[in-house]
Amino acid sequence: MKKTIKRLISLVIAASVPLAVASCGGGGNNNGGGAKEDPSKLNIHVYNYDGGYGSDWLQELMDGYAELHKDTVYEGGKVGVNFIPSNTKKLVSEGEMRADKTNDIFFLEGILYDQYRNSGLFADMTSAVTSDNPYEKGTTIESRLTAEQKAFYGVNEGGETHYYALPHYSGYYGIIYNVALFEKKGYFFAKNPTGSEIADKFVSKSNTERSAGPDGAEGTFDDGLPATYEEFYDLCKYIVYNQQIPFVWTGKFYELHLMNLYRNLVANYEGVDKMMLNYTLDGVADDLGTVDNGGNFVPDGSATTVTAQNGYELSRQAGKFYAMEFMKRIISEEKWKNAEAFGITFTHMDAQARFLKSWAGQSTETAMLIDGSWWENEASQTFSDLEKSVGEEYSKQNTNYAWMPLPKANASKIGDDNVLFDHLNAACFVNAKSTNKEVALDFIQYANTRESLVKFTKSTNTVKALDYTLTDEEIAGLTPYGKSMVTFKQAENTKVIYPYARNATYVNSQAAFTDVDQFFKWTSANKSIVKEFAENRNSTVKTCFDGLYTYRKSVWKGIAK
Amino acid sequence: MLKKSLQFYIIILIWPVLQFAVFYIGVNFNSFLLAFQNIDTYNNVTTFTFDNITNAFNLITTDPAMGETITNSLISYGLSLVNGIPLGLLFAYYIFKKWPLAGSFRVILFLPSILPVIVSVTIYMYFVENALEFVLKEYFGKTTPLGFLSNPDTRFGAVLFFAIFTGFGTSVLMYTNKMNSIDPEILEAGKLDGASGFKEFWYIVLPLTYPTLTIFLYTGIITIFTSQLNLYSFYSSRSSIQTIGYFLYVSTQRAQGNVSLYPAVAAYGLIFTCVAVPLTFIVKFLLEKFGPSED
Repeated sequence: MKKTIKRLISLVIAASVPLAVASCGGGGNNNGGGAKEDPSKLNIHVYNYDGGYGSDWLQELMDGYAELHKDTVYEGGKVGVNFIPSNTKKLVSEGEMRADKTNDIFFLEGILYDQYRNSGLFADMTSAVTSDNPYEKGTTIESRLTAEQKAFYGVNEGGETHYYALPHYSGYYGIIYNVALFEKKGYFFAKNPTGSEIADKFVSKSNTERSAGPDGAEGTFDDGLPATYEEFYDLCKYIVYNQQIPFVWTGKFYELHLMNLYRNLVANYEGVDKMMLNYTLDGVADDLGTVDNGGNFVPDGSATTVTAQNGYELSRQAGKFYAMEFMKRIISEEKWKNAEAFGITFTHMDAQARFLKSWAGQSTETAMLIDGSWWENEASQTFSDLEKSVGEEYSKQNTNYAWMPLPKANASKIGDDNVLFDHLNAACFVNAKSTNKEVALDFIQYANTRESLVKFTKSTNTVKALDYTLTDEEIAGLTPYGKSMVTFKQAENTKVIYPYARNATYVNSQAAFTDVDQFFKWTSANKSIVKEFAENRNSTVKTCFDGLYTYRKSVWKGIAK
Repeated sequence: MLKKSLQFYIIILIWPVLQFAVFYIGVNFNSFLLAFQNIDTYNNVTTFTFDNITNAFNLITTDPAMGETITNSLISYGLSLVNGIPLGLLFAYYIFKKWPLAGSFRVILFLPSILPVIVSVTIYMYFVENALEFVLKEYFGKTTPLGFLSNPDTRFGAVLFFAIFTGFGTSVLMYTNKMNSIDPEILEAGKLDGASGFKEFWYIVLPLTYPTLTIFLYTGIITIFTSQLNLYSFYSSRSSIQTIGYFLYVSTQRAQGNVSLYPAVAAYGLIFTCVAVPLTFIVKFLLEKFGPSED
């Protein structure tokens, strides 16, 4: 009996090990409903990083292509195409790619373009990118790329431009707000404040006209939203005054989320040209400065010519200072955020669920979420759960969340362009070892027609990092959040930064430019600016701003080697 | 024609030898080379330089954050030395003596070694962050602003406790096995001479377990330079507490596969190796020279 019990215990423990291992996969590999090789068809393997954007868009794309080519006869008498997707939450390392002889096409994030190209991992995509797209006559994929993208992805080889990868989806961090809650509680700024009290600054039943918002123009989508940092602080105070919580964000990944918000605030202040100096390291910086002992930003008397030798000087950009002030404020105010804002078990999915469930009355109402532009797609399960358990009014389509244009540092910046910072560096490419390169490249062309790009947006309610616009009719089919995202992206005064450049310093030290913590490292300790503000309430913006410059200068030799 | 026994010997050894050649010799040789390389991805050229070593040495010797990192590694090693080894020996002795619930203790102490570390970390993390906080609030009326692993004042202690608790498994098993190999006649003779309880442990069991203990002591030196204290499992790449092992791991991870950034990390590794190797041999020499003899 004793032996039997021992054996049973051993069995349970042994069984728990593979279970535990399986649970580490975070969703694991999903090959799209068990797709298998079909010997009668041409089999194409597609590797997809199944993160916040999921894989529904890919399935739709593959289905469309397979349907279009169901009667096409390929080499060896095979008829039609059979896709075998690998949808996984795991990014692929260079070593894994080198060994991969299975997958024909990859959709990934954070690729090291030049390194992989040097290692011969990419198939040459030039013909697919520059020639007339057979699925969209009269256009090329190249025509959908920005000048920055062309400069980075287009490599000069013997006087000719060659492409080895293409931009995939866009990802921006920012603030998402509950429009319905804003409307219910009157959290929009009034065009004409009625007094000096906090509530007087906001719209009411008797004072319904909204302020012009950050773009400074009336009658646009951002009317009534905070135009400046100061107005944003007032908004938070007013939300707390109404016994609600301004923000929810993840505690487990708070540094990642808040540092990315910080970078977007910097970009929004600096604008495209000045922000891009950080990557091109070639141009004139005219807003560098220092911080005096009173904590005020003091601009330099003259502009600085930036080169690869003194790129660290850009740590003194004004936008980095003002955005730091903003971050310190929202981190320091106890009542402006959820209790678990720095707790290591509160994940980004928990934050999304809290945000959505608070509107369903399951916790104190929370007005804003700090997350990435893909959040709604990522929170699909929570939407679905709420829809089932509480009611249809909590579905994606019936709720009303929106992307908030970031406020400007001060009144003088109102009306400046809104800047989105696409930090994901997501790309698609064809495996150099693929035996089906021709079809893989053809699929890439199909995937980058306007129609396919619009389908991606309809499926994910986000945008791809290519130049395309949706018609009003197409936008109308999106969720309210998707509408706000696309409207914002397509607005005339919205610009997007694709933070890469073709110069030796950037290419050789790509991680030092793309990793938000390394880029804004202010001390040699493993502590970001936001962690410093979270853990040391006495820390000042001056300390971190000075540290940003001192540290970047100290490591610059290693970056610009 | 090779003898059958030789053939068997080769078949048995070929796999581990290959593993050793590729994953130890090959990897370390590559790291050694990397420490002296400058990899220019832009021009696709690799040159040799001593700059990586100079830069790494300067940082190790002058950077206050690195000082803190080294201190954390030493504290971690010191604590495991002061707490882990004596307690491990006592637990092993308890199990060896088959005192009440000895079998259960063996399972409990060894369980964290069987479970994947990420499972143990997750269970501990949720217990400390959520359950313990709840118990403190509900039953003792104490509210904590953050869980013990999130709170800057308590997180190092919480991480150290976990490392020590989960570190018993292998050592207890090894000590117990060594103790079990002690000839019962020696213990019997000791008893007749009045050596029971603590005296038996101190004068008979400990000296006879000493060879196993010394292996743990001098191989433990390397953990000063490699132990991550499970920090990556707790905090991913964003731990404010750093040990040398964690620093090296996170530096590699943060390079995000950017090979141009690897040489700098390899240089740190080489410098720490230059300290670890002689230190390990010195400790081994001292332990063998001054420790008790099995005879």
